[in-house]
Amino acid sequence: MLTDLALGFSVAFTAANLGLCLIGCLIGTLIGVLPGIGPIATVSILLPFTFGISPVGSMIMLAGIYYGAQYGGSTTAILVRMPGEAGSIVTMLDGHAMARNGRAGAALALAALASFVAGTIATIVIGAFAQPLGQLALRLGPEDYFALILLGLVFAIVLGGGSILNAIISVLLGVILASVGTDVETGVQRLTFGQPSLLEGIGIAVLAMGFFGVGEILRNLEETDVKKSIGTAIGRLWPSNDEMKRSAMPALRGTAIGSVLGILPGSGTLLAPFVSYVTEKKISRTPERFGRGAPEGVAGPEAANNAAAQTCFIPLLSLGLPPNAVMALMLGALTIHGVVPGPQIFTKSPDLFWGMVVSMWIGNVMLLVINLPLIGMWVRLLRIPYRLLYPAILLFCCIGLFSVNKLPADIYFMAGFGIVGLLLLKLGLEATPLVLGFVLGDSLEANFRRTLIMSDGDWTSFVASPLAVALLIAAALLLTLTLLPSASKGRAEIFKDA
Amino acid sequence: MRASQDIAAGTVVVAFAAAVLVALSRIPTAKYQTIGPDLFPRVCAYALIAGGIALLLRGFLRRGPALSLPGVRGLVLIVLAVVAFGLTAPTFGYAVAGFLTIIISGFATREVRPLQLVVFAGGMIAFSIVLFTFILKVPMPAIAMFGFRL
Repeated sequence: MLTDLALGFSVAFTAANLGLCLIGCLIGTLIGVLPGIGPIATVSILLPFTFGISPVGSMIMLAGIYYGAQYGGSTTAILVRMPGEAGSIVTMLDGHAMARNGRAGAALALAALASFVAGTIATIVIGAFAQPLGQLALRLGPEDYFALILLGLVFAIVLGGGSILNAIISVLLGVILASVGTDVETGVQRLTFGQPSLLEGIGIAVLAMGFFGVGEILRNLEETDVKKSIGTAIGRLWPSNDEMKRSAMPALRGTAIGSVLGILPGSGTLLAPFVSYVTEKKISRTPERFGRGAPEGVAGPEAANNAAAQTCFIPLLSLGLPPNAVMALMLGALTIHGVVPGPQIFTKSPDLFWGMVVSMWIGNVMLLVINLPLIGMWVRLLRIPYRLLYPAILLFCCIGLFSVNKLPADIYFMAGFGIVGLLLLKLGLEATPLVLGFVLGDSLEANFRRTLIMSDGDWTSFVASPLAVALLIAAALLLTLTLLPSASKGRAEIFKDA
Repeated sequence: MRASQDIAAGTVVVAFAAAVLVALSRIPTAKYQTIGPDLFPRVCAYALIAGGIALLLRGFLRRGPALSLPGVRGLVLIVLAVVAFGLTAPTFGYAVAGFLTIIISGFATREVRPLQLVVFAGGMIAFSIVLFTFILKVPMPAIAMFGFRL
């Protein structure tokens, strides 16, 4: 591993890659701080512009945007009580309460420090576990993969808030959308309705920008304006000894929770902070302090969120399975560069893998600097009113998408998905599980068909391997358990907390 | 009707799945091919129909949120802004198209301040030209009007 790390350092420490890492972290913090634009829309806008950069460089930059956004999101959560990023919802509770108690600076510092600790440990976790997992993956059959993806989807369904039935339907809609286009194996057109622009299927960038760019704007315009002011002074940027002491263990526990949940397909970055918060509240001797500015409630969830944002690269890199929409966009970027993620990445492009791992740690150091001493600059950005912010987001979505194929049709499809996203929301169907179904749909179908073809159409082959059976049972158990009245009550309570 | 949102959602979902099934049935399948390209989406569509029926049942049996309709102003102007970009960008360049996009979409909210919006649009377009044409060197025309090209 030492030689691998040395290789990683030699790749990540070139001037170009350090620069790209910094750009990624800066953009990430920017969009993290700004509510209304998230990493999914940003990465899809920037994707076309990375084609001219080296594969390692573009991965380093896009990864920086992703975990940088998690840092930036907490700033908005603490100061304005709005989640800059979906993953920072939990941080609002005690983070903003600390700000109201005049401890805004301490809360920001704790969030950044906990994220940094988590990022450092998660980097080591990736370095240590990605390769063994990749080797294990080589022995898996298509039925195992099928069961694994199914389990991942079930996780996402169960762990998201809201109704389970609605989430299942969203996922199914996404999976069906993924099957639009020319079938890879037979060359037959499916569900294209004679549209030439659908022959290659629906692009993840078009879908993502439609739902999370245009759709998000439409959704925000629906709400009667939420004017929030940043009246709180930031104060001293250093936590007291007592706050530090209280936060140390929660940050470490949060890191562990986040590292594990990040690896599972599904929305690890959303879920990990919830689990960490509930855990800290449960084991605390003074749970009544939570929600009133307990530093544990900031450090734990922030660490969990950041750890998950990093370990979610493990399934992408070692299995070739993207656990969320941003990872799916990264998968697309890698494929365009001719790099196929999966177990072979460690032998075929070790420079890419280790360069990225090391750059993540460097990125975390950069983010600490970007977020703490420069906090004033980001706070000023929050003063940009939404009435100016959303036209700019829309502009970048249009330009970004247009630069890919120079086809107006792509842009119209983006607008179309924006409308669909809004209508689905009105029907109580969330975009996030839909996009996850879309992202995993291709591999789900490929493994479904491979399983059936290898066994000549024998449906029992889905339960031919013990691992597949175990995974399917786990998925079924998870679904049934959540549907039990007692469990669903507990689940509702967890989500009510936030 | 106890939960109009669920009933509406169930109806839409079932209708969508039925449309998918109709479209899939038009795919020519080889005679001895049991695992055709339509099998997997078909399985999903059946599952979707089951889910849609469950939504309908829930909507009729249990109290739930009512259906609300989207606001017209935001929807129309945002879509118009995007379509305007698609119509003008190929001929006049992305900067001209982008200016239109910002102006049209800016009016989607009641809080619009026209003068501020125009100034902001000018600034954003100048920034985009510097970023995309000069720094990133993206090969697409920024401005193509009156014989002027950038």
